[in-house]
Amino acid sequence: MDRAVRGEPDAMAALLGNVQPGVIKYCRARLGKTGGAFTTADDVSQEVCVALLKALPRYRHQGVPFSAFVYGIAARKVTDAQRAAMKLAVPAAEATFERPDAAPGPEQQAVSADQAKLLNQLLDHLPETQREIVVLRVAVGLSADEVGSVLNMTSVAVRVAQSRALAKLRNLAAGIFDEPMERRAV
Amino acid sequence: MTIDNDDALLDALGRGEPAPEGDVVANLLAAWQSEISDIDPAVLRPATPTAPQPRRRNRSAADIADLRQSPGPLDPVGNELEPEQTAEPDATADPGRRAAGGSRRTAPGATVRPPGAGGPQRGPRRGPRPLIVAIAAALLAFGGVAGASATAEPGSPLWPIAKLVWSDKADSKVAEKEAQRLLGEARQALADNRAQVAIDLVGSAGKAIARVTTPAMKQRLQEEADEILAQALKLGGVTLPQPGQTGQPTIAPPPGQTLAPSTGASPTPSKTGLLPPILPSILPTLLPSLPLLG
Repeated sequence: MDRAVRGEPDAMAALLGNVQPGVIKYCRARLGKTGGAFTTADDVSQEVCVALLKALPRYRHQGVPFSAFVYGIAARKVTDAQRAAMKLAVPAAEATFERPDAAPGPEQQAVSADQAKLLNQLLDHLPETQREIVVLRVAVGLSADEVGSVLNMTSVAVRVAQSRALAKLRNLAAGIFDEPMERRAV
Repeated sequence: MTIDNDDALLDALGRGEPAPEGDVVANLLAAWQSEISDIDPAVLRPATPTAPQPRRRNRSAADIADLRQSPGPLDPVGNELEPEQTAEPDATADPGRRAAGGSRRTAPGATVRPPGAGGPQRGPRRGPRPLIVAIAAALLAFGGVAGASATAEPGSPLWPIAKLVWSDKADSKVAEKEAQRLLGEARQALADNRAQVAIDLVGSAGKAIARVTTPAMKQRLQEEADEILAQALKLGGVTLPQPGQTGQPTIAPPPGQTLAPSTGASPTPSKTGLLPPILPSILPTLLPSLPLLG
């Protein structure tokens, strides 16, 4: 780590190799698929890696765990991508309201959605912190302690919050699978 | 205990283990984790140089439209570098929708999709990109350091990098420092009327001078060595170094004679012989023509 912070190329390459899979998973979990593939999420993950390398010399001075450093950058890049997408897509979005949408409605989409897509929809109903915990714990594979470092929470608080998140997800899933199709709304 | 069970479940799911039977949410999470973790090696590793390298430079309108379905401005982790609350039980927050766009995912009922069984992705055609980006980023980051190291001196924090990047120049720099040190000691010996010691030190300095590759610095050091040698000879009672010992033409006349040392590279002795050696670090002689990286 110290060698990478000092800018030694082999150490930087090794560090990048270690963090890149987690960064890719994080961006995929946060952004989902676009056009049927993770292309955009993977692009953002590359931007995260570049930003990480640029910011690496400052890491030592921030006094935060390295995982917090990495996923803090990743979260900001994901948010930037979402904001840019919202800003640029306004005209297209307005145009879609001018004519009937032949695509299946939300109910039918929910019925036909596969598991991963359905989970993405469920996650959007969680509070931000709980959703971030689920992303870091399941998608990235961090431990509760590591997530606590990233989110500046105690590991106990993480465990409590993740249990609440699971309970909420279970309630939401039960509502989807138990309700009649006409009333289903995710 | 629920909290412990949930923690163990999330640990297992995070490791990519299958979800337990009958737990709908756990199966959803497992399928989600499996899909996200199905990373094409081309995304992580470089493709062959002959592989096609079409790359998207900008996001398409479809991608942007899909992304727009994501929740509004959110920056959870960015703010989480500061202290914040532990958990939010509020279920009404964040009603946004996420990425809907045309996913092709595992069929309902499946738990963990085996690696490589994923739907069509555009990973392979984007193969070279990660390496290029990583190399470019590494060069950007390392370039500044390497560039700064070009003028590093032995003992400075950037000296290890200078040795790595500018190995030839670094060897020359080390030899230059060594020659300067020996010549400085020779001057001191000269001031103490220890002519023989000065001669021997000049002889040792000659070996170091021979390893200096910067022409201007090499000439300067040789001139300085010649000057010290000439002054030592004037003191008398000395034995001249053997041929080849100084890395330059040997002074042939015996002690007692007045002579001007034969220096092929410097026909005229320096006029600054009694002045302390000029630190080469202030001379623009080291690596003046090497471009900086990045």
